[in-house]
Amino acid sequence: MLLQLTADQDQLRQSLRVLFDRQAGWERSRSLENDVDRPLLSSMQQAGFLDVASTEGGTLLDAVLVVEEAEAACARAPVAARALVAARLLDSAPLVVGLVDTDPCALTRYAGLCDAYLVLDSGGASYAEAAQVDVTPEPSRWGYPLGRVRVRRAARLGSGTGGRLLAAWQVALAAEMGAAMRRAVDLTATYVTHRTQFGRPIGSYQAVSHALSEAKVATEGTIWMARRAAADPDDTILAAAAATYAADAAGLIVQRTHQVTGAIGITREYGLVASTMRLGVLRSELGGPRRHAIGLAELRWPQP
Amino acid sequence: MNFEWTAEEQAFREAVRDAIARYGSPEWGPRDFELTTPELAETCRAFCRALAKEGLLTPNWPKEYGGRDASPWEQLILSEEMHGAFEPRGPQYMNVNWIGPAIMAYGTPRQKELHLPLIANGDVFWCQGFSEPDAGSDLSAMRTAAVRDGDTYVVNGQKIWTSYAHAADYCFLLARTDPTAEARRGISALLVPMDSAGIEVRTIPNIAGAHVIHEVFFRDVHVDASCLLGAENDGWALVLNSLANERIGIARFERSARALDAAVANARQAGRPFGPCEKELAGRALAYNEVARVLNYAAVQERISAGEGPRPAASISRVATVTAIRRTAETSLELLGQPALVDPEADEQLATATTVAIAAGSYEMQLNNVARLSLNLPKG
Repeated sequence: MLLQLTADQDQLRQSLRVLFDRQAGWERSRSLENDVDRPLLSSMQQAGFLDVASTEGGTLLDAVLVVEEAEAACARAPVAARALVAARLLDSAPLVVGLVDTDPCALTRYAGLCDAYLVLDSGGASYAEAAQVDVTPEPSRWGYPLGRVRVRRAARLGSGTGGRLLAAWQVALAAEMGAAMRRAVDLTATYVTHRTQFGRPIGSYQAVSHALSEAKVATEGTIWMARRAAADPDDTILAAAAATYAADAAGLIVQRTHQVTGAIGITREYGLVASTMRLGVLRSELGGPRRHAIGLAELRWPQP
Repeated sequence: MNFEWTAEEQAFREAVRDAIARYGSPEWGPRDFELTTPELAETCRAFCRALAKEGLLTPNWPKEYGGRDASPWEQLILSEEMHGAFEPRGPQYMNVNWIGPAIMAYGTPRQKELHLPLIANGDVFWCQGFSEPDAGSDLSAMRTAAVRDGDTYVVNGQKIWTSYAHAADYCFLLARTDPTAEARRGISALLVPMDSAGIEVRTIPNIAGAHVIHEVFFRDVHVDASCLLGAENDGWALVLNSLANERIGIARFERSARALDAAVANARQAGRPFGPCEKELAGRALAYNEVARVLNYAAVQERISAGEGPRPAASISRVATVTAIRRTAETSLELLGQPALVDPEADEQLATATTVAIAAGSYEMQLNNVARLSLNLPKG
C-alpha cells in the first residue's frame, strides 16, 4: 500500500496542467456550448494522455488522474469515456467516444458529436459507429451537450463485457464527479475566505465552515474511492460503491457550495456552475444513486 | 500509488487472524471490550500476553522496545482484524497506538524501562485522564491541578468520561502545573498509578454500556515527580500528537462493515424483506463504509508522509467513519425492524452510532480541523 503519487504520476499530472492551462478552462468551455473540444482531445492524444492506461506500465489509475485534471479544467470533451472506459474495453478507439445507456429515460453526453459509442444494455456491451445510431439532441444548460441516442446496429463486444463496461463507466463517473466536486469546493472555500459580512469573513462562522467541511469530506471520499476502484478494475463491488457514494455526495456538494456562495454562485460569469451543473448530469447517469446502490447490494449480497 | 497489500502485509493479516482464532475467547462478544467483569479483564489480559509472545501486540514499535519496526500499514491491519473481532485487546489498543509511543518520544530512561516492557508484554491496562466537567472539546480549559511539593506533585481535581478507569493500572493524566500561564501552556502529562491513595473511581450509568465511562476524583494524590512525562508545562504538543494518533488508531469502519453484513444475513434469516428499498439502503451503507475505509487508509499514508506536521486526513477520515457508522446503524434498524434493539450486534451498532461522534474529539471539532487544516478557512 502506497497512497501517494509516484514520480511518473506526478510528472503526468504536471504535464496535463501545462496543456490544460493553454487549451482548456471555463472560458473556453463556455465558448463551446453545444460542441465538443476536438482540438483539445487531439492534443491529448498526441501527447499520449488518452492512451495512458494501455501504454506499457500504464494503469487505469493513471487514466483516473487524467480524468481528474480534465474535469478540474472544465474540459468540454468526453475524456473519461475515451481514456478510461474505452481503454478498458477496446484495443483501439476513435478520438471522441460516447457512452450510451439504453434505458429509455437515459440521456447521452455529447450525443451526435462522437465518432463512436459504447452501448450498455441488458444483453451486455456493444460498439456502434456514429453512422449506426440516430440522435435527437436535447437543449441543455447542464454543462454538457445532451441527446437521446437510438442504436440501430451495433457490434457485440463479447461475453462479460457488459459488467466490465458498467464497472469502468461507474469508476469514470466517480472520478469525474470527484474532480468537479473538488473544483466547486475549492472555489467556494476561496469565496467564503474573502467574502465579509457582519464584519467577518463568512468562512469564520461555524454554520458556513461546518457545511463546507462536510462537503470537503464527501469530496475526498469520492476522489479516493474512485482511485481505489480504478486500482482494482475487476472488483465490480468497488466500482459500484464508488459510483453510489459519488452520486450521493454530488447532491450534497451542489447544495452546500451554492448555499454558502449565495446569488453570485448561480451566475455564468462566476464559474461555480461550470462544475455544479455538470454534477447534475453525472449523478443521474446510469440511473443515479438509487440504481447504483441497488446494484451494489445485489453484488455484495446475492440471492442465496 | 498502489492500493495492494504486499505479500508480507497479507501474511501478517493471516497471522493476526490465526492468533485471534487460537487465543481469543469464543464467547467474546460485541461489548466485552468494556471489561465489565474481572473475568473479562483477565481474559483480555491473557489474550494480550499471548499476542505479545507471538510478536503481534506491538509489531509497529522499535525493536529496542519489543517491537519489530513494522509499518503503520501493519498497525492498521492489526486494528482492522481486532476491531472486527470485537477488540479482544480491550483498552490495550491505546497502549499500543499512542501511550507507548508517547512514552518513547518523551519519556525518561527510567519511565521507558518501567512502562514499555509492561505494555509490550500485555500486562497493563491504561486509561486517559483528559476531559473534565468544564473541559471537553475545549480541553485546554482543564483545571485539575498538580502542584509541585518537593519530589512529588500533589494532584487535586476531577476527570470525567474516562473509559476503562475501573480496570486501569495507570492513568495518562493531564493536569495544570502552572495556573498563571495561558490556557495551552502550563499543562503537563503525568503517568499516575491508579492505586495511588486519594484516587476514587465512580461509574457513570449510561446507555452505552455498564462500565464504559467513569468519573475519576483526585484528592491530595501524591504523585512522584519522576512520573512527569516530558517537560513541565509543555504537555500540549504531546496531547495533540497523542490525539492525532488516536484518531486513526481504531478501525471502526471494519466493525461497521461486518455489522452491516450481519444485519443483512440476520434479516434474511428472519424472513424479513430484502427488496429494492432494502437493497438501496444497504448498498448506500456499504458504499459509505468502503469510503470510510479508504479515507482511513489515506490518513495512514498522511501519518507516514507528514510525520509530526498537521494531519487533516485524520479528521477527514474520522468524519467519514462517523457517517458510515450512523448509516449502518440506521440500515440495521430498517432491515431488522424492532428485533434490532435486542440483536447483540445491531444493538451495539446503534449504541455506537450515538456515542461515536463524541469520543476522541467531537464530530464538530473534527469539522473545525477540516475547515482550518484542509480548507484553510479563517478562524472565528
